[in-house]
Amino acid sequence: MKLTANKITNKQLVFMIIQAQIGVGILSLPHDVALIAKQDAWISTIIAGVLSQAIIFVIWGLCIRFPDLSLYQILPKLLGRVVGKILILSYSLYFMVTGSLVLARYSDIIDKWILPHTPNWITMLLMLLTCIYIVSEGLTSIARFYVLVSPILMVLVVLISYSMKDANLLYLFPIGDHSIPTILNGSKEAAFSMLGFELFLFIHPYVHSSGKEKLVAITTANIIVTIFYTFMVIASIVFFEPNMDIALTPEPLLYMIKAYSFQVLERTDLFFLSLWLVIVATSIANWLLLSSMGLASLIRKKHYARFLPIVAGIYLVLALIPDQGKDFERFNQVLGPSHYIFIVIIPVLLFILSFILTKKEVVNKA
Amino acid sequence: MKGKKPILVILCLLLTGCWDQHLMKNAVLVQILSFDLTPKEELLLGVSIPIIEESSGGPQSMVKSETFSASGHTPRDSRLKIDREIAGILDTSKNKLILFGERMAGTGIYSSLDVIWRDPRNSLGATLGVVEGEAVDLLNLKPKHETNVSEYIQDALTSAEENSIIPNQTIQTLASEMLDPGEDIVLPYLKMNKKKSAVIVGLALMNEKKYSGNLPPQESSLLLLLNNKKGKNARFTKQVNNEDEKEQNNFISFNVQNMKRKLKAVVKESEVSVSLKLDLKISVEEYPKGDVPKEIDRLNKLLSKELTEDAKKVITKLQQANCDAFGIGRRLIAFHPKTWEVIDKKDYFKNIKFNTVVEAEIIKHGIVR
Repeated sequence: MKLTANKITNKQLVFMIIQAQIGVGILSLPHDVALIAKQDAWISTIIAGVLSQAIIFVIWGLCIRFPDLSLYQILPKLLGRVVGKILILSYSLYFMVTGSLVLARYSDIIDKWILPHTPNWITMLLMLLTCIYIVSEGLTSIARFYVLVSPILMVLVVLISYSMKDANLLYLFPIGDHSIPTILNGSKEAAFSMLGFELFLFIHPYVHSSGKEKLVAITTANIIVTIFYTFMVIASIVFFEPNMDIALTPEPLLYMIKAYSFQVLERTDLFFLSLWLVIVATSIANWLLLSSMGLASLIRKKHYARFLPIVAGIYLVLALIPDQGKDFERFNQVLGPSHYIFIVIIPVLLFILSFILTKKEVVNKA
Repeated sequence: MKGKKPILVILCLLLTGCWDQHLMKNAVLVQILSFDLTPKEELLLGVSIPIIEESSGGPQSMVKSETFSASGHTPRDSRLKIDREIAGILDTSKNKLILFGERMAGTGIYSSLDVIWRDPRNSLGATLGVVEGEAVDLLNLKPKHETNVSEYIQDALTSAEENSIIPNQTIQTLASEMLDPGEDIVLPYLKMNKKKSAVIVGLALMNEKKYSGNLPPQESSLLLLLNNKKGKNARFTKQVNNEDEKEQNNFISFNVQNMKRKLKAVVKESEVSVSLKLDLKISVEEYPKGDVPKEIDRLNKLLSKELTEDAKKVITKLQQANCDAFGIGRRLIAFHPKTWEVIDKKDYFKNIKFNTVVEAEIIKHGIVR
């Protein structure tokens, strides 16, 4: 494959992984975790970061054995054409479902917070059009865009820090009051928001650096994301009473800054939301990229861009199905196990298989 | 460019957001909301809306206000009734103040506030207050120096905030404290006096979500100091002599410059005691008798003693109202969770033993001695 024109640097990889991990979940993560682990939610978040790091090691181990192949090419190589193709198809279906769930949650929040009368399909369509535009130009421009929008994360941190003037640090105590199973249960919730590093499986051949540097890059990304999330969770816990109040507010971060108005800026939450839109766009773009790459490799097309409109159409249809909070829960119940299968179990099995079958890519130094 | 034209057209059509536009020309902005209980136990909602009048002659237009009220089962129910009465659409997104009548506050304020938290368009920057008697009466005031009643009450509250009579808080910061089982809130307490103007008469003490007592301004300031929530100034006037014939000469007025508060909750055999220590550095603002440096030791001692006694009085009043404004319960949850589990969660505050000490030290006395 000729990919020299479409390579990304190691630094860009860091930002790509960060943008992939931080997504729609950021707004509701503190609520979801605190619902289970209460004031110890931040411990759960750190544990979730450690767990993702463990998975990152496995994923990296698999990739390092096939430095020039993405997962879509590893699958048929390791498992044979038929099984490989079935798995490729299920991967791209999985990404479609995950992506459309993100899309649905995004438009749900927009519907609740800003535009209650605008039909949801319009906000979704606008988002998809933007994402198609981001993705269609290839990996280099995607990566450049992600680097460009990353300072937004800092703005979010600053906004949240401002609301800390009304924080009550006592809400963090007693530390570690909950049992270890409860805290781990909370980590499970947090881990869902950490997903996104699986992007590495698919883009690593396009990264212009050695295997070790790549590991440093994704580890850095994961550490930054974990710190970011932990900060957000701590901020919400010290702002909201962690037993009753945070349970009542599904989007604590938005609520926190909604209360403040500055000289020229009222309804700070709208400002926050419009920045958050960009963060969501990057993660939807990721899933769009992954699922159309999957379809492209299924029928051995070189470029995935032609699949984008079709995939986006599927996203739109899937995202329009759930229209209530309850549907999201059901969606999540189905999706929960599939996260484990596709992100943890299959990569681990492949990793082990690659040793058993002693299959390794012959690196031709040409 | 060829392929992008249709996208441009679609964007122009979609990005205008026709569904969710709120035109200012149709909106009637609400500046104060008031909640009262009618004799029939229904909810009486009052709203104050500004009216802009073009003044004749001057370039400045006058802002006056008008008040509407209606009763109903819930705030939204009453609001619909008011909405039918006025031209335009009621818009509470710029609301700055929510007042509760005494009787309403006595039955709990949380349920009426639900709508404010639930609707994303509502402003969470609003403050709350409790009014002696009926809150809606306060909205019907016609103050002379300020034609807009909402501006008038808000300015009064802001100056009270600066003088540490009421704490600086918004409906959002209050939400957590209200829901917290180990902490209670205090709200500004307002009253209409005989001259038909509004006065801030101290703090309303809340027991969980219900109004249960009040404090006069001097004690309110002291409570805020004890709670480490000093505003810009905190002024007190105390009697320090009684021999002088001229009444004025017996008093001293001072402002608190710096303060340090130490609060510690100790649990001994499931009994909670709190040691509260307040160090005040004060500057004398008025002492007609004169020569502060000569008497400084005596004044320091006397003021410390008086303030300690006042503080004890404040705490007794808090305990009577069962209003845990200090958040002692939260400290127990945080540092003594086992004690909290067995403690009586409703009336724990009444049984706490307080050991209060206030130390005052004069550090400034203006430009004369």
